[in-house]
Amino acid sequence: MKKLPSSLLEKVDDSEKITRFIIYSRFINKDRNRVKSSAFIPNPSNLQLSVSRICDLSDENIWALSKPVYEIRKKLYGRADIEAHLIRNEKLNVVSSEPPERHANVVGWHNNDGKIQKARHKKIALKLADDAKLVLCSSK
Amino acid sequence: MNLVAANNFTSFTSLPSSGAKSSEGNIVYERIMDYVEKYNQSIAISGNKRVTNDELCDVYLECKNPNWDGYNAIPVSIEICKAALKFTQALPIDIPAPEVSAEADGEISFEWYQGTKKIFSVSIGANNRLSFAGIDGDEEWYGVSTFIDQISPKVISGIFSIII
Repeated sequence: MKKLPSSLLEKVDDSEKITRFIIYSRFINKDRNRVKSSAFIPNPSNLQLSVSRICDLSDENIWALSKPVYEIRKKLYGRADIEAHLIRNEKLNVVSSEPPERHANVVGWHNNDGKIQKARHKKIALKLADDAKLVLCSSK
Repeated sequence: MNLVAANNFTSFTSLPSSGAKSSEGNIVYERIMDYVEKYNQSIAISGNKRVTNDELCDVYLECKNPNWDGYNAIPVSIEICKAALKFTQALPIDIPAPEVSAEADGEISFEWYQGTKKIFSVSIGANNRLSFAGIDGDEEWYGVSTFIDQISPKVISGIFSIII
């Protein structure tokens, strides 16, 4: 099995936890301790959702992975953790994409669906957000 | 829609761009809020909607530049912000204020959440297109409609199915 520069296996296991770092405050609701579906809408230019693989990392090292995203606004509100199998349940896939280290993409979003495409993405994003666990960042 | 209010809000398009929450950003924010205040007064909207309108101004300021989410998101345009404001005015008065956010494709979303597996979200995008989806227990649905002056019954019923 092929190993990546991060020493992780290329294939993302179903049981692996991945995370989406959140630098936009409206992607979360602190009072309800939840992530909003808008945090899981894929980028329209490539229909991918950029995530990080966080298996076998300490909390401190997980937050360290956020550095490239954090640098954009010098803010970090939290992260949305979710297991890979919950993403695959939605007929999406999680594929490794290094560098940066431990980077991966959620791929397989509906494409060429015309007007209905965004609505399909929203339905999936609702489910991913509902399954995800919000971890707040208290230090930044 | 009240024509005076509509004309006031048209001026929104001529506001200078600035970095959100900088001193210049604060000036822009105050000017936008002036317009929104006039807009609110002219149509006597409910408290819930006022909160949403204030939030829409914040969303625009926060997301008017590319890559606002750190993952190359598209900026929120003033046209979509204006459409979102009209959308909030068209909501039935007894609907609670939604949670407002931008999305990576530059659309603005409104989300009603009543707990796990009881969520409805609608986004407004280019050409006044509404894309919506909901989860209510094991039931899931999604769809699209066009918003002109009235919100489609499919969207309204989706909201009510979650909040009731």
